[in-house]
Amino acid sequence: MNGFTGTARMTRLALRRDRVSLPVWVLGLAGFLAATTALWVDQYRNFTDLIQDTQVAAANTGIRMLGVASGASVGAYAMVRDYLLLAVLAALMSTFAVVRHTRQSEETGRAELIGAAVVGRYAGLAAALIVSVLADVVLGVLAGLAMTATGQPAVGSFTAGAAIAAVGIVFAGVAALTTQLTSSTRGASGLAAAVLGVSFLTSGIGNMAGHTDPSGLWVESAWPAWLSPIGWGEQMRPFGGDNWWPLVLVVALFLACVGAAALLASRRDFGQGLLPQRAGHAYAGRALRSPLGLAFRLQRGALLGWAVGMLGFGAVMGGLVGQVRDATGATREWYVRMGGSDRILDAFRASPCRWRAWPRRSTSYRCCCGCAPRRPTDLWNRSSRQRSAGSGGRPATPSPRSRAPPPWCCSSRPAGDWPPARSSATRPDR
Amino acid sequence: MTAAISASELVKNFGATRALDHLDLTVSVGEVHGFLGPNGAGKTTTIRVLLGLLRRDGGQVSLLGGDPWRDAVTLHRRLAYVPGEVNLWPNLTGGEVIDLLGSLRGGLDNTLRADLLDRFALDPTKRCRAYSKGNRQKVALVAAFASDVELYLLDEPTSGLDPLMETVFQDVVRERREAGRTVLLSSHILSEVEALCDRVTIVRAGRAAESGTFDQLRHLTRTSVVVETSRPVDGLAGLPGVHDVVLDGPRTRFSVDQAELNRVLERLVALDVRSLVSSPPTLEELFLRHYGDDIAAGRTSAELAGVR
Repeated sequence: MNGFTGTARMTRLALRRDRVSLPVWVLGLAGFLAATTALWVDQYRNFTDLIQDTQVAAANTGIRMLGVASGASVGAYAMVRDYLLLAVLAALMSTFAVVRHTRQSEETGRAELIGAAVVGRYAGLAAALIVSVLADVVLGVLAGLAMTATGQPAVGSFTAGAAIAAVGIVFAGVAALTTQLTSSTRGASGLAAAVLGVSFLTSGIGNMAGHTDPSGLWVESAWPAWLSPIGWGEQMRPFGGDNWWPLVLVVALFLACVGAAALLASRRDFGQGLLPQRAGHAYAGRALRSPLGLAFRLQRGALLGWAVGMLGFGAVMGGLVGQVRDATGATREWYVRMGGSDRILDAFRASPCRWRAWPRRSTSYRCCCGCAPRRPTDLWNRSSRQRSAGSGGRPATPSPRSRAPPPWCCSSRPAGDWPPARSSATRPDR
Repeated sequence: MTAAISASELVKNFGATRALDHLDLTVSVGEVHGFLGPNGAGKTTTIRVLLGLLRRDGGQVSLLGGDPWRDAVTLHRRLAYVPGEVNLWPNLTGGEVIDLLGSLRGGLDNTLRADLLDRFALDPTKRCRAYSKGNRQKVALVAAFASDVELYLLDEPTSGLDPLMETVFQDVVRERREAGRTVLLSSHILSEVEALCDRVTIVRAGRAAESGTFDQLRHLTRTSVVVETSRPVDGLAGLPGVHDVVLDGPRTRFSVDQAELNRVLERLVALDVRSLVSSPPTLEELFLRHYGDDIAAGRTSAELAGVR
């Protein structure tokens, strides 16, 4: 077709330009999934630990925002911990790739040289989408292979890969559309990132507002989760049913976005977006006429964006206070452990500070027995490892975690208040 | 002669701004047509409409017999384009870009390519991020001229080129004209246009202010005369078509409308002319007449006031 003339050449150009960056993205993300899954395989030799940690993850509304528990298996647990991060990064990878080969080319004027050649009006957009979707599919396959390599069931592994790739593909479509709407690279990426932010919040709220089933190992998300592409990936439930049908929604949204983008691309002028450009100020204001003023002006958007984002995060966390106050059992324990205080609300308020650094743990922690953790994950892992070591490296007796006295004092709680005090190393345990 | 480009009443708006305001442009096959205008006059917008990158809001336009928007892809096989601001892919080499653009246009002539690289003294192995503005411009020029096409659309193609390369560029354009190709050369370098173009269109504020050969345009403007006479000159300023009279001892300087030249000469002969230097209007004067109205009008009236 006329409009697509030159798509193959444009695709080759895009691949040539991205021959380093896209492989780095894809291998990096798949490698991260492989490494973390291998870590959890090692950590959860003892199935009881896995059950307990999954129950915590399912019961805890804060964690539910970040991942949905779908049964007790290492794969499902890896999804709780990794899925959101990988999905968001896949979405960003796609967004950046599409914007790079469309709006950025136009903004810099390279697309003008291309547009004057024998290249159809859709060729650039089509090439950008082909390359991005290709990268997402490769990422999905490698993610599946990565999880299979760590010993996870193949069906679940590739469902996980598909769930991650799906988010990337949807956002390739979203970026194709935002590229038509705004006339700048920043605007196009920013608008797509805003859609990503809303998707995250929607699926997060849907998951938080959901409930756990009687086993405590499965989160049933509320309806808002279904309004978000990130939610669709989660609802594919890798290692927990492996639904592939949410992919229908993914493909439908992708096609809708691409169709709208193509329609706009066929009508709009080169270099222009659909959203009007406002005229700026003819004079610099007083505040701008200094180095500090310039620095502030250049950072203003980012500052505002982060401030609003943090405010939203704070509002969501604050809204959970009521729910947390009544928390009991494993959830309460999780907050106490993450928040470093046994006053539940203090612990809750402190806990977000911890999870943003998740899974890194402060090495300034010391156990009540005086030993210092060797690796950042030691504190998190110690409970299972100690019990495993109890019977010569084999999984120990799968007895439920006894509450008092804790046989695994090293990790029951950080030895001290938040922030941990050095002198607390010898503090007697309660 | 048939028209390679014919546009009439071309209108293009960007929001509330009217970039092209009923612009007319006709370029015949086989000519080098100068497209002159100050910054923001609508030259680039016109060329982008011709390339089918922008959609016109009104008027008729035909490019090589087709519609530039609808038939963009087929028409682009028959034309080559050099933008004024060349931005290339930083991690590709100049040679790669030339081949890429050539293959996107449907192939290029390798003999021409080698010849042009040599004449423009361009190193094709450097990455584009290392090229200066002039060298990036050369990449686009080589890429365009390495394909033998019917029409070349050049939008201020020599910005950033040194005088030596400017000469090479002019030679290349002349060769193409001799081969029967058509060139639309947008520029505000007057000497270049004067040296190369058969006809010019002067565009101002989105309209074609004037169009024609230089001779035709010169008829529309004034000849500068410096005359030395035995008898003192008087009453010259009162003649129709005479402007800017400056008396300097026996010498008198003035400019005169082309149509009134003969009558003025008759008057001068009666005053016993000792020497007379007459110079045709330069393109610069043409230019100033069209764009410098506000400035020139102020200056001229002041000068006249001084004389009278």
